[in-house]
Amino acid sequence: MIRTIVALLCMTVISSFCFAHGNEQHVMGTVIKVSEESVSVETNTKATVAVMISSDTKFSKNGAPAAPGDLHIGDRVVIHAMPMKDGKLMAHTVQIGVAKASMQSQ
Amino acid sequence: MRKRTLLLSITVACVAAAAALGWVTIRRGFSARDNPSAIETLVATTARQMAVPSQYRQLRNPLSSSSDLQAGIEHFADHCATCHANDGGGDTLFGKGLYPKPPDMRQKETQNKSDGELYYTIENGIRLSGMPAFGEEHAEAGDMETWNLVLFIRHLPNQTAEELQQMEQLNPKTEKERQEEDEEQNFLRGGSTKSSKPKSHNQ
Repeated sequence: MIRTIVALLCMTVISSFCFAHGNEQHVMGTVIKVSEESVSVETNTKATVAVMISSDTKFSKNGAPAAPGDLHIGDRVVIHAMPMKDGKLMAHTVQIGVAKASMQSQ
Repeated sequence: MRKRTLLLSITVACVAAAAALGWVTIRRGFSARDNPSAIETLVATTARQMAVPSQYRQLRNPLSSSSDLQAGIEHFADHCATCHANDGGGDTLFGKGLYPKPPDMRQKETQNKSDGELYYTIENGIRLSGMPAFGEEHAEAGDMETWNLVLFIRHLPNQTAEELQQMEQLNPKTEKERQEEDEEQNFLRGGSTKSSKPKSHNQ
């Protein structure tokens, strides 16, 4: 009984010092599809990566806070996302860069 | 005799209930991803509040200048943001995995604490949580770096986007992370990139 109590106490103490190990993914590419729930990005290797977005996703453009509406097809993006239990990626931050069109006009 | 039987029955019922609760808990397993129950939170917060010595509770922050706030911003970004996040919300990789989770310090549960309570918490930490004691043992209540942090915590509800941006530059980063960040920023500005496969970050 005493052993069980000690084991339980140890587990409680140890668990409070454990850090979660994440598996954050950085997705870099050009937006090819955007909706209220997700954004699809084409990477340089022509792979398409779909990332879910939620109300907790933080958007920024040129270092300043932005809104989901600022995201358009053709924009360069860097997305920091975490895989969910179902394997889909959920965006934590979406950084919006220059658009393809504006690059071509430069 | 009746009284004794009643008392015995209540004791047996309590022990059985505790055993059942313990069994269910052990079967379910312990995960730091869980949130403490309401009872656990009430007991822990009450005990913690009672454990702050009254001479600390009454302390007022001696600092208030903008340079003190700036020092607090820099210190927090470098030392505290890994768990608490730059905005004090606790939404970080480490913060989300702690048990208990760091509180959202912009909310009244933190903001209603006295300056002295915040100072005492930073200096002495919180037992059985991820919050370490950052103060020296037997130190007087005159650690100005800690008072800078208290000033910053008070400022959290009014934090600006510019301050958040500045803090991101001050967060601790490895050489590899800095290189990767430069590569990402270059890509966002229209530059080329070596590889754009999704990169995994095991931390």
